[in-house]
Amino acid sequence: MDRIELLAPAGDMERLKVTLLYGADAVYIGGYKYGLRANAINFSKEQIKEACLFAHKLNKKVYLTLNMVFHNEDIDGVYEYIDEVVKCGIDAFIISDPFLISYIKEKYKSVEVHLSTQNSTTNYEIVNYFKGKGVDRVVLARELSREEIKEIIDKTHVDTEIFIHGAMCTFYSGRCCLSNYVTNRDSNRGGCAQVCRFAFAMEGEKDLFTFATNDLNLARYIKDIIDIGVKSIKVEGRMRTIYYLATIIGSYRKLIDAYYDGKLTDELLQEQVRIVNRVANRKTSSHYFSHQANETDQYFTGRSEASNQDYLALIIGYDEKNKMLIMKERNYFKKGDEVEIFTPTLETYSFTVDEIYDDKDQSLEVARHPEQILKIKFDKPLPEYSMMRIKTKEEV
Amino acid sequence: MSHLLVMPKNLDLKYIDKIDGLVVGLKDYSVHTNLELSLEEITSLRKKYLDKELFVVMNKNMTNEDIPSLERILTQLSSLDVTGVFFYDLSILSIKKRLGLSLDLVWNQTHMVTNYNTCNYYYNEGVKYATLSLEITVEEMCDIHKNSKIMPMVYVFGRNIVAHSKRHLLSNYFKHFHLPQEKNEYVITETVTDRKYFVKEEKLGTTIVNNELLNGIRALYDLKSCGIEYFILDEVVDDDLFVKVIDCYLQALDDKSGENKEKNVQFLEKLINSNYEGFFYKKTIYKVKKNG
Repeated sequence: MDRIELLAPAGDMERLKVTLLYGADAVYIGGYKYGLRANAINFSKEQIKEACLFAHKLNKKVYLTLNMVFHNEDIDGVYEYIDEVVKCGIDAFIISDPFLISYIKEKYKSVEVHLSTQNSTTNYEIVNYFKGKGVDRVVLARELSREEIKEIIDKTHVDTEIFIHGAMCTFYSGRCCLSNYVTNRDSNRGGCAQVCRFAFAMEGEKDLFTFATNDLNLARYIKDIIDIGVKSIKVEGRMRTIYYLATIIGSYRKLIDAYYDGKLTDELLQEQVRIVNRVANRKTSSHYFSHQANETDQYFTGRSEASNQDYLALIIGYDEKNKMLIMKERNYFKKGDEVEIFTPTLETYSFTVDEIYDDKDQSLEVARHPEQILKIKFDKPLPEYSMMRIKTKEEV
Repeated sequence: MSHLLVMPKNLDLKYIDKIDGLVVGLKDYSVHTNLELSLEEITSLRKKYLDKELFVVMNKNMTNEDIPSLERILTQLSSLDVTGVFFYDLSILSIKKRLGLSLDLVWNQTHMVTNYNTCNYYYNEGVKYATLSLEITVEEMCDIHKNSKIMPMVYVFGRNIVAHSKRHLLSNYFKHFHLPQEKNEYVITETVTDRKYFVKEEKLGTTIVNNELLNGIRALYDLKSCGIEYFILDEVVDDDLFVKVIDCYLQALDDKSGENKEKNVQFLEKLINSNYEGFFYKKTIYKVKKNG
């Protein structure tokens, strides 16, 4: 049975590697042009090629966002750009403007076209329309319920992708130009200034408020999502930290694999939901998937992103002679702390920190300098991008 | 030949003899329109003003549940001989094609009608008109007209739509803060720029509307110079003032040589107390960081 695709964001090469190594089946990236994150780091053509080579070696895929809403001035050069990035090895384009469909599909049979969520596709009729145009996959609007998604799948048999985790728009995608009006930055061309998170004053009221919404988190619905036939689940957040991405992707990978292996227990589900809730540092909810989004799905008084210091260190090597892991510190920890190391192979090692050494093998009581090179006793080397976090059972 | 259309706020239509047509919303299928009518009321309107163009707005995001009724409604509208249907959701285009309906369509994806290639795409799909986005410049609008076969329409008076959500943002706000909600339209202020916006909540969601009155008289001169023929006025002011606004736009349309351009611009500015020209002459930006 084909497993549901886990699609991860990758804002740069390191994030791309981390997400693929932690179990993503595919990544979506932006080039220097034509995407909806114009101010992210993004990928040069050379980097796109490198990204594709890396992904394809792992038998995984790379999708390129080409989903800005074009102005006349953006059209010049787009076809040449498509030709060039196809040569780099791109597996699919995520597009919004339909004029691009025929060019890509007629010229490149093996390259897929995915219709972006920017189009706010909310019904089966639109999906069938684009199926007729050769679109391979539709990224559905985030305003849909489980039942609506299922009906679309049942009535179209088109590959569907839904957002499963990450930041949400307050307004329909494509139907928000707050950024244009407040900051002169064009939201539909990748310049969104996230004005929904700005402070507004309501007529007649003293307290300020925002339109910001909670993050989306559908981890607890993973079984439902697979059962109704969704083809791909997408995590949002191209600029999130590698710790966040590794944790989220790793957790969803575990849940997906457990489902297909018949091992998706309530205990595993609860544990992974706890982990993804904790790493987000933001309030999350299921939004429209389970109910008509309401006042419980918004922030109103600003996003209280309680910064936690769970991420302790990135494992960067192994000292064979002294049997010690070499790591780069991220947050304070000390002898006696209960920690766990999680790895791209999805193994987790829990233990108490007995000894800490610096790079000159001097013993330390506490690690208090982020970026400092440290060593701790461990009986074997671990894969690149393994990470150490504080072990906790509590929610933030 | 120029066409002046009005989105009326009621059916008094004192100005009906001055204009070429009306744009009205269809109840339960349109959002942020001034006036929503039932199919029966639209039928009566069609019969009453046979010499006027009549466009029906169906610009909500459609759900699966809407599709069967859309088939019925579009079939009825095609037999009604309405001039066209404004659509946001592509299900309308799809149904029109699937059922082979003789019904002209207006591509009305508020903020996404921004280039000539996509206009040509929809023209080739059988769409006759497009309402150009108000977030592009007059120059871009003229380029679209020059490079596409679609018939462009431009809103030149009213209040610009800024954003639309499925969420009931006013209800949510008042519930969250445990405050009484007394109406469905409030003014909010963005605190950094101190600019005001209307928030309007209706059954189908919430719309943010710009507080400033769009003064598009200068734009109208420039747009008609490049051959654009359809202009839309949104009736967002009092009846008497709106009649004067219409007169001003009519004078501008009749001013073939453009000799009274500045006079008309100044006249409307005084009349509505607004020189706000939106993005007609101001380009938006989207790259603020260099990344290659």
